[in-house]
Amino acid sequence: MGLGHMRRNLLISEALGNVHTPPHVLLIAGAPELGAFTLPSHVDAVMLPPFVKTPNSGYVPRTAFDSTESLRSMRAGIIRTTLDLFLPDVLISDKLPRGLMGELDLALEDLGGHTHFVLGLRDILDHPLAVQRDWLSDGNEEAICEFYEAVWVYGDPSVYDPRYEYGLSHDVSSKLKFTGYLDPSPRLNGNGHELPDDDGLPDRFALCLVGGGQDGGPLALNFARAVLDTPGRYGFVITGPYMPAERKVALRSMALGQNRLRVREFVRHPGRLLKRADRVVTMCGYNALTEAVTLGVPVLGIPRIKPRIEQLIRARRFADLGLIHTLYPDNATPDAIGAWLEKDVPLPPRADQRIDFRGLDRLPEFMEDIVPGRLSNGHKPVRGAP
Amino acid sequence: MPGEPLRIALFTHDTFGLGHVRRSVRFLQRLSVESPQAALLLVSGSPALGFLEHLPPRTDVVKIPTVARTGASDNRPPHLPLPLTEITRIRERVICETMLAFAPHVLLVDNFPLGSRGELKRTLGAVRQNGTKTVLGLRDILDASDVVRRDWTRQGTYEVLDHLYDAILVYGMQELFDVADAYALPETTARKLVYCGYVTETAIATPSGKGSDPFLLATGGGGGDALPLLNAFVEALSLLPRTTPAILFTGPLMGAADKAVLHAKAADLPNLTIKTFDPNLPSLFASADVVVSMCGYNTTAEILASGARAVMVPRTWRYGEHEKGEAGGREWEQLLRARSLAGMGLIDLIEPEMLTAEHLARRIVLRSSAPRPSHGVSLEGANRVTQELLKLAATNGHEGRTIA
Repeated sequence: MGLGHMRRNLLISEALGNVHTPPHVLLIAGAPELGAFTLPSHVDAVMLPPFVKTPNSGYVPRTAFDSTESLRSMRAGIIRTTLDLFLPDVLISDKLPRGLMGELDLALEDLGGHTHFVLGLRDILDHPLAVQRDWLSDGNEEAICEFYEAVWVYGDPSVYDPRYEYGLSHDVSSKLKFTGYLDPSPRLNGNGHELPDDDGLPDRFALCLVGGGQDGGPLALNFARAVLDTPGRYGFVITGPYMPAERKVALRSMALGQNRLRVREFVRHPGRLLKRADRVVTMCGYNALTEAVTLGVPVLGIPRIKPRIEQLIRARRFADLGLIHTLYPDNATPDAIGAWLEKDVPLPPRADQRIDFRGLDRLPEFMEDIVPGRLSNGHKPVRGAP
Repeated sequence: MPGEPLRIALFTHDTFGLGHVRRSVRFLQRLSVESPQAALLLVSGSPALGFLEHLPPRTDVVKIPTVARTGASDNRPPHLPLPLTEITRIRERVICETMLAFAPHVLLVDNFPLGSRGELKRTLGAVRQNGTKTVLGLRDILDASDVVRRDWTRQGTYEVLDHLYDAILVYGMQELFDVADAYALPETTARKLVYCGYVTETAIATPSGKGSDPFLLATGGGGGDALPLLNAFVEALSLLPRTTPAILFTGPLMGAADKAVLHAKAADLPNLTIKTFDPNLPSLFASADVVVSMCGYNTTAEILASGARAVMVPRTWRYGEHEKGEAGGREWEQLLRARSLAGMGLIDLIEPEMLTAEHLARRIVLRSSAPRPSHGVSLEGANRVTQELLKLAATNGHEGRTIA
C-alpha cells in the first residue's frame, strides 16, 4: 500500500531477527517502492503490483493491469502459491485480515491448521464510524474470529485504545495485545551512504516530512516559502516518491540557486536527518510522528484530514500529551509555519516517559507466545507489556 | 485482439549488478514512449530493484524471491536462507502464475534463456500455448565460447532456444562478437538472431567547446567488484602530479569496508574526490581527460557513447569474489569485450594480470595525449530492441488471456 505500511513491516521483520538465530522472514507486499528499502539479510520479499484506492473506496490497479479482477486474481494466486510453498509458522497480516478484496482467503483456508495467524494494526485506523463501516465489515471481523490467534496493536492504550474507541467485540478484544509504538530511532546504524558528511547542511535547519508525498505538496510548498521568507533560516524537504511531478518541479525551482532550501525525493533513513534537524514540520503518519517525537526536538504536526482522519486523531492525542504542536492543514500557511519556526519553543518533554515506544524490543517475546520454543532464545526479555 | 491494449512482459535474472535492471528499465522507457498505451510488466528477483529509476507509466513490477547470493562481503543481497530448490520452486510457480494472468503478447527474457535452474521452462511452454511470442535478449558477450557451449549443452539450452523462443535479440554487434559462431548455434536457431547494437544512453551532453580543466575519472560501475581496480587507481594517482584533479566513483553497491580502504588510501591526495554515484556519469565521461574503468556492459557502452578516452582493466574474477581473486574461478566476458574494442582502437586495454599502479599511471599519461576515439559502434540497441518487440507483438495471433 503506502510507504508507511512498508516501513513498519520492514521494521517488524528486522526486529523479529533480533534473536540468536533469526527466523526466515518473507514479506509479501504490494508496493513497488519496496526495492527502495534495504532488507536485512534474513528477509526477502515478494512484491506485487499495487492497487490504489478510488474516491468511492473501491480499488483499481495502479498501472499495467486492465481490470481489478485480473489483478486481484493474480495477486491472490501468487500469495497462495508463495505461502503454500513457504509454509510459514506464523503469518502476520497488516491491517486487513482477508487481504485486499479477500485475496488472502484461499491462503487462510490452505494454511489453517499449520500456520498461526496474527493481525497487526497500527495505533489508530480511522474515525470509529469509518472503522465500523470499512474495517469491521466485509467479513473481516468473522475472519479474525475464525482464523486469527492474536491481534497486535503497534500502539499504546494510554494514547488510543481501539477496544474502547471502536467498540470491538469481546471476541476480538480478547485477542488484542499492545506491543507499544515501534520506534525505529535506536536502530539507526551507520550503513546509510546517502548523505555524506560533506553534505554542507548547516548545524541548524528545519526538516519537512510529508510521508509518501501524494497529498503533501501544499504543506511542502508552504514550508519552503516559510523558510525562504525568513532570512537566515535553512530548510530541508523530503517530497516522497508519490508527490505529483508539478509540485516537485515547483519545489526544485524554489530551491534553485540558493543554499537555504534543499529538496530530496526520498531518503531511506529519514531518522538520520531527523537527528540533525533542530525543528521538524511533518504530517502525522505513524512512522514520521513516532520517529520525530523521540528525538527531543520541537515538532509541528500538520495532519492529513482526508480521506481518513487517522492522522488528525493521532496529532490531537500526541498534542494532548504535550509532545507536539499542531496546526490544522487549512491554517498551515507559510506565515503560520514561519511564525512557529521563529518562535522560541521550549524543548518537548521526553516522549518515552509519556508513551510506550518499546514495541520493537517486545516483538520477539510476543512471537515466542505464539510459537513457544520456535524462536531460538537469545533475545533479552523485556519487562511487562503496557 | 483488435482494440485491446498491448501487453509486454520482461523477465530479468537477478545477478547482483545494476546492469540487468538498468537495461530492462531502458527498454520499458522506450516501449512506453513508442507505445504509450501498452501495459508493461517487469518480473525479477533482483535485489538491485531498489536502485530503479522512475518506472514509466503503465508499468508494474513483480518481485520474486532473490536467488543471487554474490556481492561484496559486507553487502550481500538479502535472501531467504532456504535451500535453493525451495526458492526455485516458489519462483517458478510465481513467474508462471504471473505470466499466465498477465498474458503478455510478447515476453522478453533477459540474458538467461532458462532463468535460474530451469525455472522458466514451464512458463515459456505455457505462455506460448496461449500465443505469447517469446524473445530472448542476449548481452553482446556472455562468457568464453567454450564455457557457454558447455553450459548450454549441459542445461539443454540449445533445445530451448530452438523450440521455446521466437526470436533472439543480441545487444551487441556481429562485427564485435558473432554469437552464432561463438556458441555454435544450429542454423535453425541462428536464423532467429537479430543484432540490435549496444543498449545505452545516446543523448549524452558533451562538453562545450571551451572545456573545463583537465581531470581524471575512475568508475567502479555498480561497485560491488571494483576494489582492485580503484585501489590501483588511487595508488597510481600518488605517482602522478598532485595538480590534476581526479574523481573516483565507487558505485552504489560497493561495500563499506572496501570504501574505507579507498578513503584511507586517499587521505594524502588532496586532488582526489571520492563519490558514490552520479546520474550524469556519462556526460562526466565525455568531459574527463581520461576515464579508468572495468569493462562491464553498461559502463563500456556509456564510454563508447560519450567518446571518452578510456583505459580499461577488465574483471576476470567472479563477481563478488575479488578477495579470492581468480582462485574463485574466472569469467571471460569483460576481457573478451575489452579485447575486441581494443582491437578496433576504441579503448586502451590493460590485461588484468598486468595491473599495477605504475603501469596504470603510465597508461593514463599516454592516453591523455591520444586523440579521442571516433567509433562506428551501433548504440541504438534500446530503440532497435523496442522496434523488434513491437513488430513481434503486431504479428502475434493472441487468443486472449487464460487465467490458470
